[in-house]
Amino acid sequence: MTVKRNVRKALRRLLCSRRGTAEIIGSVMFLLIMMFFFTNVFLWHDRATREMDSVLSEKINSPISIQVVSMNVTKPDMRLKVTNNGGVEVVLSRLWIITDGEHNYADLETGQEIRVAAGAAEELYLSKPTLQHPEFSVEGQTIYYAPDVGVLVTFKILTTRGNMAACSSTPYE
Amino acid sequence: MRKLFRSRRAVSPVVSTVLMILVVIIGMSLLFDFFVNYTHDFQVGSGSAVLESMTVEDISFTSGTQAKVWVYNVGKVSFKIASVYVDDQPAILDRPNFEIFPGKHGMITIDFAFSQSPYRTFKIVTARGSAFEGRYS
Repeated sequence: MTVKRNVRKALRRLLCSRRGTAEIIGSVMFLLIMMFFFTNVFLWHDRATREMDSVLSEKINSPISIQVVSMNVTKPDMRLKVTNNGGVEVVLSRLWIITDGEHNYADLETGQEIRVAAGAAEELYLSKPTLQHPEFSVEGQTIYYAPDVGVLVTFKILTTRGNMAACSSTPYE
Repeated sequence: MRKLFRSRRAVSPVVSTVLMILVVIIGMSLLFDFFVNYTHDFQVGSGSAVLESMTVEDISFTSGTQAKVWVYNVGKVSFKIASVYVDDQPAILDRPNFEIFPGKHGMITIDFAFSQSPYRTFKIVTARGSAFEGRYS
């Protein structure tokens, strides 16, 4: 009975006493302000990481391959086939043409978008350059380039997601 | 009225309270400014390193001591190429801190005494500290 009374007395004294209240309120406010700032940084970092995770997963899910369909210079029938082996659509960015130590590229992004749907394939055509179309220029899916017969050419394709594929072939007559 | 203005009994507590409030406001303003700048610097600087990504699309060796490196920015932020290492040795860049924007291609020329090895390890380091490494022939 006495113990109960003493506990009740102590509790009442504790609740009625206002000593130290300012320190507690100050500490709580300080912690709240700190949490406000660090939460912002954490949320921003979390969003940035998620954004890059989605970019990476799209890149992983859109591998491509390139193969030479035909390299007949005289006919002429020069075609390349780009296949999207992934589950996400890709946009072609550049076709690198490497021959005899020379590295040149055709920009497939200028004024157009060559899209390859998931699991689909698109053909790129090689045509002899003209006055209107200088070497390595692009119109639609035609790249103006005349390879030398018997000289090995390496084609490297780059997508806007950063995936690459390459193949080599020797043009023939 | 005259009595009120002549009395100096409460002047000291009022002055001290005003001074204390001023000190607290100035201190909190400085702290706030520091935190805002710190957060902004982190987001723009090293914090954005997670948003960087690149693909080395082509490397062509123009001579035994020079190579052209084509880089494609597939990340969400622009980056500056701070240094390039070939087989863990630093190479000389023609354009240090060359900036490449998202979705854009960029070319840098590096000077380095290349070995006869058919494959070389290239490590490209950005100004934010991200490193992208690959083996190229």
